[in-house]
Amino acid sequence: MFIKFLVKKITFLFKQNQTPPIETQSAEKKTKGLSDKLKDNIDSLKLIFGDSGDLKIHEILFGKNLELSGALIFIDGLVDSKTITESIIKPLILNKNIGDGMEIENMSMDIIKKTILCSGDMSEIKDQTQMIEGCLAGETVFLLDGFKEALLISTKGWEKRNVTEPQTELVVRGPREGFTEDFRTNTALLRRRIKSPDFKMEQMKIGRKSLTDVCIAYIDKVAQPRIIEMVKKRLEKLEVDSILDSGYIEEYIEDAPFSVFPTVGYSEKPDVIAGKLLEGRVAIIVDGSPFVLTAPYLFIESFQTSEDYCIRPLYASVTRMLRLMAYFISIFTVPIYIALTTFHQELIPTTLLFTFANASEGTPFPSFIEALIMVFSFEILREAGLRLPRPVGQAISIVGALIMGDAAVAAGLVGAPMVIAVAFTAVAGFVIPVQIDSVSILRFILMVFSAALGGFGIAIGLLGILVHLASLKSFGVDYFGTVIPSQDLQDSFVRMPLWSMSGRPKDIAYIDKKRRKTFIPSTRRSNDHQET
Amino acid sequence: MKKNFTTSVNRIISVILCLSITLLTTGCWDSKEIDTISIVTGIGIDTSQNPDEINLTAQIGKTQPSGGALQQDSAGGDNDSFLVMEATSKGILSAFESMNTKNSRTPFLQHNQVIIFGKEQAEKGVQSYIDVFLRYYQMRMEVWFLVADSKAKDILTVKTQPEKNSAISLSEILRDETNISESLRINLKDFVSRLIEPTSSAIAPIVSVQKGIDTTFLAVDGMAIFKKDKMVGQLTSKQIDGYIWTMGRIKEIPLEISLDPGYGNMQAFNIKCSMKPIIQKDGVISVSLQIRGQMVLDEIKGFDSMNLNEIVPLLQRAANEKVHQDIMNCLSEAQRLNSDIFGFGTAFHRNYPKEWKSLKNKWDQLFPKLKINTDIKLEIINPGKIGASLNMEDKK
Repeated sequence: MFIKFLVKKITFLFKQNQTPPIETQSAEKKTKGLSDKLKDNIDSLKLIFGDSGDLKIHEILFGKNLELSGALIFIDGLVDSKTITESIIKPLILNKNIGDGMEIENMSMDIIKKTILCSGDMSEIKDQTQMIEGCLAGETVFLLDGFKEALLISTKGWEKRNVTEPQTELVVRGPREGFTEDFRTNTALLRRRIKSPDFKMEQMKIGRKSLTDVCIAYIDKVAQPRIIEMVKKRLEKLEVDSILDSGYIEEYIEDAPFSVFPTVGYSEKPDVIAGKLLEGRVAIIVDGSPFVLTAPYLFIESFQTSEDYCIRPLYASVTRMLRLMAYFISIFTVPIYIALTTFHQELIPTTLLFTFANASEGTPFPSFIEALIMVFSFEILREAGLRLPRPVGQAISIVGALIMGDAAVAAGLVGAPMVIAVAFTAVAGFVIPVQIDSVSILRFILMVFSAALGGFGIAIGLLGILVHLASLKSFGVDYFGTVIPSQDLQDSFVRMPLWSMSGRPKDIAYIDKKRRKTFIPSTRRSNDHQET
Repeated sequence: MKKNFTTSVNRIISVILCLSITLLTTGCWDSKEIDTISIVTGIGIDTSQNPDEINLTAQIGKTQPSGGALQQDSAGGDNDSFLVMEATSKGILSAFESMNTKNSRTPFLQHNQVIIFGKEQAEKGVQSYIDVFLRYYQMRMEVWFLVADSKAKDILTVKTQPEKNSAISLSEILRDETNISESLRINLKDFVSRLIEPTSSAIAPIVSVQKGIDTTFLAVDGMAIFKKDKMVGQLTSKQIDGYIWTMGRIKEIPLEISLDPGYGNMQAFNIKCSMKPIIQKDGVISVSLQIRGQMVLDEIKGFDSMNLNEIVPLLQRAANEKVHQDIMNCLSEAQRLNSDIFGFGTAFHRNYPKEWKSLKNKWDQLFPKLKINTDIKLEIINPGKIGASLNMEDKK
């Protein structure tokens, strides 16, 4: 009864938050043709935009006898004014031959487009919505009195950040380019890495207000059509007003929104995304975000870095196993410490037990509370250090390290081994930045379990995590897939030499499964020898 | 869609409720904070005036707060690293119970290092007090089993160096002993398994307190020999060497040889001992012992006017002779007490299961007359880092 009551209450609360779907989409879609009178067109545009200061309407007269009047409409700041001057205004005004030898009636947008204007990207449009959209995307609209058509001329040019080395995913060896906030730059960065025509980028706009460019990138025959369809469907279903970052998209399309594990991947580096595309994954590029999403995303991918493939396989494998170990250390150290010191003292070697006992002698709190204090203050410190400017952040870390570490122990509030355990845990957690949220949440849950049930609780918690991991799916692919023995093990716990990894990931790739011809280096070496 | 949502919320809530009920209402079962237990490091059992009771001594490791400010106060004064509690009672657990009333913390027995029986109690019998060490869940089988040369209490109260805790230092000493031979490892499990073999006799190391220059220390020398569960005698350290050679499983053992012309010290290693019980056709039983091994010369003194080629065979012969002598010494002591400390009876049982049936009942008469045939071949394979000795060089 009680449970039913609670369920009712909670579902009610959720329902309140759900707003009814807005039907404005269809209203906006209504097409409206252009008028053949320049003035009418301009007036209706002015009506739609109101008195937006950045809408520029530049009227020009041209032709031999200045008999033609047209207008250039663009949004200031989104266009490159030099391009407009050089490739639109100059050819129109300086070319006194326009209209010479031909009747004005015979003039057409087509002729202007083909013979006069100097721009590589132009298109003819007939309807107002397209015109507005083009305008807002940074294109210049050319209207001519007496014509029902308009020309959209690409004059995009706005301030953008340069391609720099990203702040996340730093590498010692390997490409250093990072994505920027600019959509076109990002697609170009990818295209430069995969020059095959099979590399497809399907573009769409999402967000009623933001009209964000979103692009689904994949390699034909390498990516499974099933997964591409799934991504497309999920994106098309979105009815939101704005997408300001790829994180928005991730949240809307991920498989398990309430899981601590991410089921959509992201990266800031084009080489990483290119690598994932070549494995058969689908990338989602979102305008305004330097983070490109990939799907499907598997658990083991959190432990793969771009550098693994740039350095030699032996050390790459060692560091990968180190990362896996760090992940487990980061989750389990504190719970195990709690379990050992409150339930299983017999498992600690005698001398170590005396060390622990000496440390906890005189501390007022049980070890679970001690651990809670330390873990929480660490999370607070991390959050404080993250958002502050760098010089202040350093000050925070010094204060944190001194006060938290040293003073707390000296004052006898917290035992020194607990400080060590939490510090070790924290440092180990930073090894796998992608999983940092799952690490801190799971650590906390396991701490509660181990404080209540000891080692048995940790076992239950671990079992729960494994069951959850095994049940997760990312775009129809088993999330925990490559961890269980399969062919894809060659790129999981270890990174095999590139020449031995001949196939693409089995669960993900489509028809084009073969990556490279396998060869054994020693035979090749002997052949070389014979040749010389 | 809506239905799915409701059921998922339903499921989440029921899981949370189940977890919180099971985890919170049961409380932290069996949880004990580390600063609420007193860690027992040694248990001593002595006789008391009442023959039915024992005097139990427990050595409890003391903990010092590790806070910086607090440590400075105690650094100057004498800080015992342990405290010793006593109780007299009929059983061992009841003795702990009565100790508990004087102690603010509950005794924690899993880290007990040693069980020491006082000599008097060992001679009265140990069997009735061993049961609890096998039965009670907090007791471990790997704990060292020892006999004190006087009272167990004296061993547990002594302050030792550098290990402050005498029980821990004792367990370190015993662990070092096993570097010589595995057969010197006598923990509760080994002791009990000897005790339950019908013909074998158990042995246990004897520990005594000895005065050093300005400290006291504990010494493990000698072995108590048990007949059934009562201590009947002891082996000297030379006889222990004989015991080790008979039992085998030697890792490295030093050999010290004193001869007329000089003195030599060798380290024997790579030793293979095989003991074989033999029943001859006429029914006479004997044991043949074959020892093969290698030695390296570590130190020589004297041997003036002799060169190395003469010394080596001399020492080799003397070493073989010495090992033989040690074995015979040990055997004669065991035979005098009629205690089969070598487990020869068990060996006969294994090798001659049919004949054993008749031997079993008269083993007490057979063992004192048992003969050991030794076949010892230890070779010096390495004269050490230098060839001739310094004083030899002078003579030439």
